[in-house]
Amino acid sequence: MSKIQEFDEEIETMEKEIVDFLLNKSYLFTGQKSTFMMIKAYFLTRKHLTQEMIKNLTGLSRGTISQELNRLVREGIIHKSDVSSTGEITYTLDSVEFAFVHAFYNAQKEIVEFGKKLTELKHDIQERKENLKDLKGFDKINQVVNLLTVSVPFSLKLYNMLEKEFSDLKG
Amino acid sequence: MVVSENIKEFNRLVEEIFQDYIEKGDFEINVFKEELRAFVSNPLSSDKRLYKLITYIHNNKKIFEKFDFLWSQIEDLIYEKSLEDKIKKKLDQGKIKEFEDRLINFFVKAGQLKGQNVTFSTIIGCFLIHNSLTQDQVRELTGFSKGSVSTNLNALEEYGFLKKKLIKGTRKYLYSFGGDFSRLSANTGAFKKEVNEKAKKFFQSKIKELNEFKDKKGYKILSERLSDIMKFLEIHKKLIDHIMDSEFIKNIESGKL
Repeated sequence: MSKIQEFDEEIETMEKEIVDFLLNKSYLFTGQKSTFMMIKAYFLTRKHLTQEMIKNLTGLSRGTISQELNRLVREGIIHKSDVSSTGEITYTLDSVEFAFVHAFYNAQKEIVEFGKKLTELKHDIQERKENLKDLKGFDKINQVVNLLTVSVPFSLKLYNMLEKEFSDLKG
Repeated sequence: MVVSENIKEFNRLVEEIFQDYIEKGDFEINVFKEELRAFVSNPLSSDKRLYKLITYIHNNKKIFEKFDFLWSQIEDLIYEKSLEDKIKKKLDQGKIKEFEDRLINFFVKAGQLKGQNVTFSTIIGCFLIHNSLTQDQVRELTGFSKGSVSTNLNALEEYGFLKKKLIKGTRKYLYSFGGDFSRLSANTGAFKKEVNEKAKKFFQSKIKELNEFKDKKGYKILSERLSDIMKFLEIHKKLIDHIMDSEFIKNIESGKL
């Protein structure tokens, strides 16, 4: 039997309000791509969805839906949980918490990489300091680079904390 | 033909005078001409170098006779110097621009880690570096379309990152980053707390509302999901508190960074 459940009208009305809040009023998904957010929001309320259902709920095109589904799968937010006899795939979003923080949670490696690149940039600036230091804008750039440099170990610390919260939650 | 030694001395003098104009930030032949005209027509003028130059021309009959030639010498010299200066300035600007681009790249990467789109992060990066910009300047720096720049500027203003002010005598707005880094961190910290509180209230009220529909299809799954969202908001709040209490943010706020 399919995991997918229809919603009664009253529940669907509430769902619409919730999705609207998440997308337009909550600021929890600040700056993310709108089609991606929209599909993610419906996975938050429904847990299980097929392409066809997403199309009915969001009105987005098949191409867009399939593109965003691929991204959601790739980032580990949803997974394929079922294939029907007609070949229809059911996607499932298990962890609500992860859906909110996935980008940051997936980022540890990238933060380390980010730190390395930043060190390179700092090195380049130091090397050319004599030629650059009197130019307009140099101080500002230096200030921003220093700020970013200290933010790297800080981000890693935050990541560890987030990881611990998740394991507490699961354990 | 003017004696070459005289030309040398003459060129040295013109160059010296011109150097002053470069320092003042003017390096156009027209500016120099105007200064010269003003000097000649104003007996109280005190520019010793121009005086020296004029005297020099007067005292060197041969030079004076060929004044047109001299004048073209002056023009050539100034043009050459100003070109050198302009090219140098352009190159210097290029050097800084390279670092700016690399920095903005960092903002974009960092933004992507948080799931923000490229346009949004690039614009934040521009404001961190430049502080105040008009919509046109943002477009020029980023190459993004008018619509996309305007949408993002509005969003950033709404989030409290930017403040906008009408530029007097125009219909244009100047967008400024809310002061300095410390204010930014304080603003976003408080803002995020507010976001979290607002979301908590919203979902609490929805959970209550949902309990009126216990017999409806979809009740069970939606109420489970809402309770998971509440759990997330708890973690979110802990993280925000942790960030706001950290040495990192305290250092930024006290201006140590």
